[in-house]
Amino acid sequence: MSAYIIRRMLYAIPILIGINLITFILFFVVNSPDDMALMQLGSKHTTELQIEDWKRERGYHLPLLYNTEQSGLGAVTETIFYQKSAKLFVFDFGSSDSGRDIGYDISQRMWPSLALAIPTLLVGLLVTITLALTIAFFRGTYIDYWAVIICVALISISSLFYIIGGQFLIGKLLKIVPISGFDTGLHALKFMILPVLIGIVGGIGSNTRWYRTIFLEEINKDYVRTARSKGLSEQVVLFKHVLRNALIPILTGVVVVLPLLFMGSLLTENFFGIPGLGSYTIDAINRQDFAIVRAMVFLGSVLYIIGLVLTDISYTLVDPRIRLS
Amino acid sequence: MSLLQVNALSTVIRGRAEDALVVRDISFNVQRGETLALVGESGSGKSITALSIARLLPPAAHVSAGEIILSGHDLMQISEREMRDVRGSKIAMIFQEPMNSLNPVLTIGDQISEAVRRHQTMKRSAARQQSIDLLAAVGLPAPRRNIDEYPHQLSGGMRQRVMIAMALAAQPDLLIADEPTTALDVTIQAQVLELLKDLQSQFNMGLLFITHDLAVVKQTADRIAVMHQGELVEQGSSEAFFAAPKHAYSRTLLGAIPTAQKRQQRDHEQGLEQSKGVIANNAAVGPLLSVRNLQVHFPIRAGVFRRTVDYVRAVDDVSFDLHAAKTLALVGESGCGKTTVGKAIVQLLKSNQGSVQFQQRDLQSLNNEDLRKTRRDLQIVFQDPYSSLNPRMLVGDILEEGMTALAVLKTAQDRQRKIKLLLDQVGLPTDSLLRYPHEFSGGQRQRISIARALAVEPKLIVCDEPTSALDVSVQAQVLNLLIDLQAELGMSYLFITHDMAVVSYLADEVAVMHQGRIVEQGPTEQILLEPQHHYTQSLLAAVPSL
Amino acid sequence: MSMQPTFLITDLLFFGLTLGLISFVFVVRKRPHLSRPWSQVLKSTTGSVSLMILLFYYAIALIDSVHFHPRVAQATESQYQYSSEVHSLLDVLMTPMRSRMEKTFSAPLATHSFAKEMMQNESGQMQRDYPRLNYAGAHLTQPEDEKVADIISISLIASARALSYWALIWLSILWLYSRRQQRSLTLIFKQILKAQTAYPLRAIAFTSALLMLLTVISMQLGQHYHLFGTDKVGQDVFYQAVKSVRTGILIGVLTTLITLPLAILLGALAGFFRGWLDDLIQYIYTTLNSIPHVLLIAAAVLLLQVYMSGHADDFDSLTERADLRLLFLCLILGITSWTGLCRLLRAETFKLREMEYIQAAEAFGVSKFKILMRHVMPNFMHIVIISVVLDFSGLVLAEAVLSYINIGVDPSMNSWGNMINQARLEMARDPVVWWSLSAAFIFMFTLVLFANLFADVVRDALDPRIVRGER
Repeated sequence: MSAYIIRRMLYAIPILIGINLITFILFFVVNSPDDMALMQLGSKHTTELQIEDWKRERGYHLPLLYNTEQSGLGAVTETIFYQKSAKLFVFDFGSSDSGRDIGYDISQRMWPSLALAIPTLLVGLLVTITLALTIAFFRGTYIDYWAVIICVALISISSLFYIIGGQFLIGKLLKIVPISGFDTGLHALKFMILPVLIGIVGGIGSNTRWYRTIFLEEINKDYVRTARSKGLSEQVVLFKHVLRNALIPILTGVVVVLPLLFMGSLLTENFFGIPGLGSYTIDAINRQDFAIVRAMVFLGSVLYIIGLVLTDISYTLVDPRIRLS
Repeated sequence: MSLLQVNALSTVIRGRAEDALVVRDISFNVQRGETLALVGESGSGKSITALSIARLLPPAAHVSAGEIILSGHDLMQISEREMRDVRGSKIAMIFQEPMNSLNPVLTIGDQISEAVRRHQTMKRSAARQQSIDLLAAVGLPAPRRNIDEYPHQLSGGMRQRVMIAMALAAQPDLLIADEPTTALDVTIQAQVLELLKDLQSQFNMGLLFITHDLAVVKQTADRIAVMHQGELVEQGSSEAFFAAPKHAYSRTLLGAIPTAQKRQQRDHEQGLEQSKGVIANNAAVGPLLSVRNLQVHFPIRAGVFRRTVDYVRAVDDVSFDLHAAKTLALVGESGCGKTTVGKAIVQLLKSNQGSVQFQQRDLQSLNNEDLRKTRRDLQIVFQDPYSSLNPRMLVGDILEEGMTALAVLKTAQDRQRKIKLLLDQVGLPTDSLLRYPHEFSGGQRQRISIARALAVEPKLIVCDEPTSALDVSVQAQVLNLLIDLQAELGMSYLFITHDMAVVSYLADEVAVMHQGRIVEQGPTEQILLEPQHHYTQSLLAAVPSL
Repeated sequence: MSMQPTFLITDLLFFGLTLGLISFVFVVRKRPHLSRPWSQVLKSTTGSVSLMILLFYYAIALIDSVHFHPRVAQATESQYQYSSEVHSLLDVLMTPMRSRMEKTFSAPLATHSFAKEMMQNESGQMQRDYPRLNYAGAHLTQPEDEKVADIISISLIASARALSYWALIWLSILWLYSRRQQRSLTLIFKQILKAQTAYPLRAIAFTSALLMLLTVISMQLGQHYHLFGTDKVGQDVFYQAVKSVRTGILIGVLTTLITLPLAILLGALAGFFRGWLDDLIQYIYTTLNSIPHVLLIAAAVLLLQVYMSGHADDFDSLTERADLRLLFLCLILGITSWTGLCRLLRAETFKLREMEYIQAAEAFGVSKFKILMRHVMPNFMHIVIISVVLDFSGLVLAEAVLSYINIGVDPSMNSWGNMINQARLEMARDPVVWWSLSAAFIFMFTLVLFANLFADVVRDALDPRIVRGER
């Protein structure tokens, strides 16, 4: 068992190398640092010298893979690949194009992201599982039929409208909570309510429908018939037998996104002005700050891979068929 | 008063287009301490009848008419809440697939004590003790350990014992067993049947035993009720039924079961004795197929780097000869490696060691081109009539594929003529070639599979359990077709099966496989009547006979 | 010739794809085992109605993909000059709405501007008031009193026209049908009205009436008013929303075109040959899948922007440039979204590989290539179709989000995402400018909702076992 997990962890290494290569090729080979400089400085009235300065300030003046001007180890280390890409492996993100330390920014900004993402996930999970179980209980009736239609309708609404609509309705029309902004400590609470609420409502449609399908699939299995043949009530059948089995795919589906919670939600944070990693990323995209985007790509990939490994581990923990084989 | 009295029961399943009446107006009763066997082929409505009695029908089905009276109370008249008190305590059920029927994420103990505590107020520890006692009663080897295990950790037979223990938890008056041994090997089946009988007399239960297998019925039932297309066509005592079945369908059913006597009768009628003798002379030339020390091992990989740490010895030293126009039956229980032998001979699997000599050439040493040529003479028919035909191809194209691939007939007209001949040979109408597989029944599909193999005019056909997915009456037709084709075309069969009755009906020689090895082989009569090896003996002893 | 036809790359791909779809329909019709599930789709009311609405959207996109340069002036007898602007057939159909620009915001069906302006009143004094719009309601002398009656009368006349077109079309179809079936027309009417037909003709007739009404009324009202108001620069919002249909549909279908070959080929190869090839393909899609999709798209689009700003001279027109960006977006969306389908197909091929009919083919020595083409691919095509239909709506939604964070289609292109992006800043105004958002919402929601409903029906008909796993 442990051998399996170790193997999965080792498998992450070539994937990380692949991701690193992809980002390197995307950011430095497909587009030369000169292009980036032109983009930032504006293509008109920009002299060679300005471009050279821009590149030197950010360390983009080095050769890509091999520095012929340096000897020994320097030939490899004094390159863009070593300075910008290889260092990502030790989470040394360097500084952004505007000169800030990316690593520091990330460590500061991940907390607001988590403060938003964790309650959204947990409360959302509770709400959607409860809804899905209720719908499964009424399977085959009109309640089920209309619940599914409503779910489909909810899925069909763009997340943008959830945010805009929610902000408008609750924040502006009803004036209950502030529309946007953030504060430290407990004061943050009142700013969190609206985005968390919108995050939950936005996820209800797709998750409820998905969990309902899982529940229905379990309900049609033979062991449920056995449980009924023992004289168990429908509630016991649902909560003890069906839920236990259905929670395996549901929980492992959650585990895979757990690490990614650090990354925050791009749209929500941007709309509500929450200084998390999501809005950090969006700002970087809008400012065309390649260093930050590159760092976030790598960070996101690492977190996803951690999620995959955690999924494997959680399977072995919750499913006796895998745990004991 | 009967324990269970079913009066004029009808059950309907809602369909997409129209509703289907799957159980029509049937009546029967079960007494205390008595076993009633409800017999029928697939689709006869026997399982739906069982579920109707326990009111566990799937949502699409409902009882449309009739009474189900258990100890004087009509179960159709009580509320679902009251019915729940009946289930488990008065009526208990066991099902066909013990793996699917147990909850995979709950321990055995959880599942049994749940049933114990549902109908009696009892402390957790007491329920656990009673569960252990129940497991001991159904003959689990280590009840104290088994109680904390999960279903997947037990073997199929043990799982079915757990199901039985669960059903007995509240000492029900009526036990409904729906094909309880169909998924089990024959030796395990014998044990489970014996256990059921013991427990029945111990608790004085009524047993409603649902099965398709008349041989099992003869062993277990006091009375028999035969179902056919939703109707009860005949019922009566077991002795009377087997002595003289009254209804025509019952007679067909009994007549379809392959036995050695029927074989003699058939051989006699068709005068096959002589023709076989003629071909037997050709055997002096040497065997058509000669397998020596065949081994097929599958690697077990483990550890961080998935290195091969050991092998599953699926086939471990198998040797036999098969002569032209003869049938060799390879018999064994599930997992003994018989199918692997078949696939290794047809070169669908690589063997690790040993030789497969076919027409005096070692198949394993052939290059790709020569192997392709040899494939003409070497074909295979599979078990599952549903997965053996590509659902997206016309039957005509299916039959033509082999001929084109092996360049048997050069022109399209020749091939079309041959396809029509093949359909005729296997007894299908000519217009079948423009139809798709799903339009045919299981037996017809198996005929198409046989025709596909025949298309390239092979000398040897490996038949891998070709009839075990079929109902007994269809099985008889397919077996007879195979025998007739052999008489007509003179090819050999390597007939892989678990069914001793089938062996006795068509095999010339038998090889008994156990754990990857052949433990005994010889002429059919000798093996069936005077088995030497103790495994063969126990196997034959376990086979229920008519 | 009053115009010079021109073909954008996406137009050509879109037409090609449409031809492909049409031939697919013909292939399916001839094969009963393929057409059975589709007739089941059409027999369900939800399926038929959703398909009609999707086809309606598709038709708009198709009309909007017939592009040309309009003629501006006649230089000599035989020589014409053509505008460098690119127009489409849809622009011609919606001419007044395209060209009638107001100064700035105006509410739906308004006759006066949204913002006050300094202007001279009748007595010659300057005062701040809401000015009349240049075009909307310009034919009215007393808009305050006449507007409602005018709108109602236009709508009524348009409804009458729409319903008579509709009745004419249906009558002629049914008449032909009754001739062919040799049944009386009244009997057929009765069956349709009582919903006793095999296909849900009553619902289809109802939907087509509704679509006809909406089209004719909105086109007629659009001649005299701004149905959904105007935006900041005074452009008709209804026109924008309709023009955005093409973007949405194209993102949905062209991405698929890029996804399918990759997913099918790699999925089938990995599942069929296993071994190192399987390891390699799995490695590729796990790696790609690990990168958060939004970020990968953001990175790629940023790089495209860098490229385009560096090579601004390579593009003849703004339209062409926007078109290329759209294509690039489809490409990058395709690259991020083939992995899911590939994984499904690999698993299915794994299962099919063990099917006895494939082993039977191997026993005949049929070549691996033929086994793949004849036995494997036809048997997983239903998964491909289901996944295409399921993914469509997601792609339409993705376009909006991406355009919102400025990594979607070109800002000059009409798209719902761009509409939302521009409109959300106006939410802070008081009173609120809500119409741009509403128009984008209604158009997008309708498309996505019916695409989702259709996808559900298709999935149930083709293979109900597939559970949709997220990410």
